[in-house]
Amino acid sequence: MSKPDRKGDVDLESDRWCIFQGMPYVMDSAGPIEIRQSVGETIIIAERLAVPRHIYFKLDERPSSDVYDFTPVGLSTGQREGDSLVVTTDMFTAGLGLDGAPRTEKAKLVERFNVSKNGKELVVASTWTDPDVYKEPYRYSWTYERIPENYTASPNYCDPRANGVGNYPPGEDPRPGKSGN
Amino acid sequence: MTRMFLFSSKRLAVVASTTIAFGICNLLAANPAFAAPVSGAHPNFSGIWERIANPTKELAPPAFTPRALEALNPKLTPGQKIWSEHGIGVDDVNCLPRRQPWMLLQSAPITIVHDGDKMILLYEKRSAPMHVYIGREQPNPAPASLSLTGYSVGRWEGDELVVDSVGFADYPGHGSVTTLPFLPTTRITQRFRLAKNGEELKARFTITEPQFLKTPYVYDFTWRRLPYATNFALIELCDGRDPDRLKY
Repeated sequence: MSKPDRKGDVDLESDRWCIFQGMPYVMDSAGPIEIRQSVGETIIIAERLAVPRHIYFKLDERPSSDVYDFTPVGLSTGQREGDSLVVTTDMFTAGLGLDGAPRTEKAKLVERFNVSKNGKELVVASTWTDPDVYKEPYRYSWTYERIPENYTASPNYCDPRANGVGNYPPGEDPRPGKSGN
Repeated sequence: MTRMFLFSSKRLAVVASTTIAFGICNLLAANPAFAAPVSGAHPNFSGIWERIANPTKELAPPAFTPRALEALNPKLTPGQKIWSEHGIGVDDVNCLPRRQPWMLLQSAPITIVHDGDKMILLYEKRSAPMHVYIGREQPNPAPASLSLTGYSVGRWEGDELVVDSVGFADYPGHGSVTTLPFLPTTRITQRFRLAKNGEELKARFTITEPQFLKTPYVYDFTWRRLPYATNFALIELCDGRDPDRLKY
């Protein structure tokens, strides 16, 4: 298996092709994250080429792998423990994990979300387990600064053709060596 | 390592007293038709919503201008013609993201998370989230910088949330009405309200585009609520490198 072309947890080839990426990229390299809560779920979205995360609180049961297509953000369920939100995620597709380590279909992530400093900071303590990658659980903590409420999410638009890749109608690829150029 | 995050200031209080809030949520779970209002003064539109059978009721059909008719039948290059004949679009093969209004009207459910003064609408296939900033003013004239999703603000009129969106850039893909391109003068308004004791979500869409539409295009659309207990978003991933996307 060839090593992915990457920068940290960013798969550069996927980035060129404007493919939405998953975890841990969503929480790390995709720009500010926005967390919004409702009774049934909390969503986490990031601004740049990131698959939205849905954290479900009310699912009767987690779907089986027979019916649920694995995704780069997996399937997340959450529960509150005191002041913490504890999120459990599995059913990840294989891909790029933290610091370029592989993320396999056996990966599981447990995150503990806590606000601190009077709501000005969010601390997310993460624990990855994956018997095919880690000898022991991989633990780390990320701290986020809160952005003022008057922030407007930056629009992000990615077209692979602007990155020198992409698909063109038959006979109309303008790149050298293509379509008879 | 320090990063940036957004977090509703109103929700901050909820997080700090989660044991109490969680207790309330458990009581409400017994009545799936009820979505706990965040502010207490207005309805809350959070939920997973699926369009009903025959969801659209046109109140004023599109009255296209001559320029619109021209835009709906563009002159295609030979390669574009081949793709068009096989139902292939440049946005599909390059996995370009979709946006409103099209993404709100499809058979795949939409997720709405309405949290205080922010409402986010998500479509489970490739798309950009629709951010609605409740209580903000719409800039006039329209914002100088255009974007895929434009800029959406909301205001309450009784129990209706009126969402007003401007500032759309013209990118490939579905337009404001069928394949009509978005123009800087395009305006989309939705009036959202709950019906049938919170089991239905209704929206009156008004599409205004003076260069393409002689009069605003108005239609009603209805979704039904799906229970959180048994539903979750199916994430569609799109990879432009997949050769199957080009097959015909």
